Amino acid sequence: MIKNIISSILDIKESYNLKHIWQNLAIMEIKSSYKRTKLGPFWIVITTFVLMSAMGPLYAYIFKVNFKDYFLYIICGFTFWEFIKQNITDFTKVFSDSHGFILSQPFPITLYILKSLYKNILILLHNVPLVVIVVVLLNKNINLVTFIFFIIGSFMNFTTLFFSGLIVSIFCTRFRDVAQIIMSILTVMFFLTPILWSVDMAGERAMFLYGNIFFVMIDVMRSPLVDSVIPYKSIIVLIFLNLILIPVSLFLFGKFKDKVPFWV
Amino acid sequence: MNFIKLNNVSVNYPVLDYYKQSIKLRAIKFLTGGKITTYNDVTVVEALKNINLDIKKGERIGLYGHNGSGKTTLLRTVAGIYKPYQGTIDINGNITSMLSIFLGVNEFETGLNNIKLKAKFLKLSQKETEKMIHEVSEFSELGDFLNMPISTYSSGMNVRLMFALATYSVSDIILLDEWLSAGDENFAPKAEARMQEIVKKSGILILASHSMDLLKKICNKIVYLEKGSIKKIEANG
Repeated sequence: MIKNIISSILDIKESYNLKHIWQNLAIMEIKSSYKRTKLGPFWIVITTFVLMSAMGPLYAYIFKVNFKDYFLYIICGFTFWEFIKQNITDFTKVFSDSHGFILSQPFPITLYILKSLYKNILILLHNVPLVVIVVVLLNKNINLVTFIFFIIGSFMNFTTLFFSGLIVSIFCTRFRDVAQIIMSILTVMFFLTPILWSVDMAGERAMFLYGNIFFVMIDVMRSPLVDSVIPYKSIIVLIFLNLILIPVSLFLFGKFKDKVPFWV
Repeated sequence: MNFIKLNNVSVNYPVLDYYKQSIKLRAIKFLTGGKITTYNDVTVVEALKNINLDIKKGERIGLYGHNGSGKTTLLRTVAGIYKPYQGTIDINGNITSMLSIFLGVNEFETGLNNIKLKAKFLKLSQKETEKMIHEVSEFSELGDFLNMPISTYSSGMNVRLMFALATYSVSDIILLDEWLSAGDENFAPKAEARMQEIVKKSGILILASHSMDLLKKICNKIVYLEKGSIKKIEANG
């Protein structure tokens, strides 16, 4: 068991040393998906803004809440949800999409997971300026401390996503149906997680939301920006989750990583 | 001192066809109390069987065999991509694996930008990058086409650029899967000259091909592979 964990750690360390490769691969991937467009990756921001401008007024009216507060709430929630969702979606096919590389270059296998995560962080960074502008305009209570907690929350999510990526990618490569199962779960979770609706709407049952990992992950990034509060509960839940997730994912990844070239 | 030592290496290939890769059947098996036992065993193909090879510095090994004889699998195993289930591999030296030259290329970018991208993968400095651009553009004879997206290139131009990029930086041990013969007639002698140059510079070369002529021209030792095992090893020249 220790042997598997160590072999995973060595794989990650080796990948880290090759950061010039996965970083450039990620940039190349973003560029080629916006090939020949005039605005390039800024379409990401435009898409978010258009969607929010359409949904904001409608849902604010349906839920009978203040439009400004609601707009701020969903623009943050939706951006962070898209980030988490896109990461997991990409992890499900990360190895099968890079099979050409895997079968011709002896790179450590975590390189592809880091590439995928890095690509989505770059996409998130395109959206962050828009989010920050909206936050500064609509939230009068924003201050440096809450902003720092937003950054801490973001890094906690990067860590959580990376280690869940180790498990998701391996399982989805071996069992191709798992990817489909994960996609259906994600669709359902969008509605079960307070993104369009707020936590207070859940009333007494808001407690149960802490069992929803997607809520916890969105909360550590959203609460500091929207409500200017430090989401202690979510941070604690996320730390405990990682205490279990990290060793388990390292163990499973170490056990199966050598099989990946045979499975892609 | 570069060397490669393969000691009794065997590689098995799991065959995960549509049925076996599906978790549904595992679930069905569980529900039916394990009656559908045929789905449980993973079929394997023995791609390499008890390979013993001792390669010293300066040797140029040609792997000869029909399709499916294990040439590519052996190259991938030496490269460290496939892990053998049995046996050991000792390698001293850095490996450049040129198993596929069309990788890491963005076809919607210009030739020039792709050279720069490759320079980033190789971690070259600004000055080295300029030197690389100069050398690659000269060797590939692309001229003004370097400022056009790769998707507009003819297949001959494409091969010239890919070849120039792939052979730009090489290390002690080179693994080559057959793609030498690609390219148009005028380019072939040039490509061959470049290959010979690389062969001289490298410590060890392993080249897989089913063209005996090519292997006899370049290699000084030929390994005959058949159904995953070594049939015979022959010195050449």
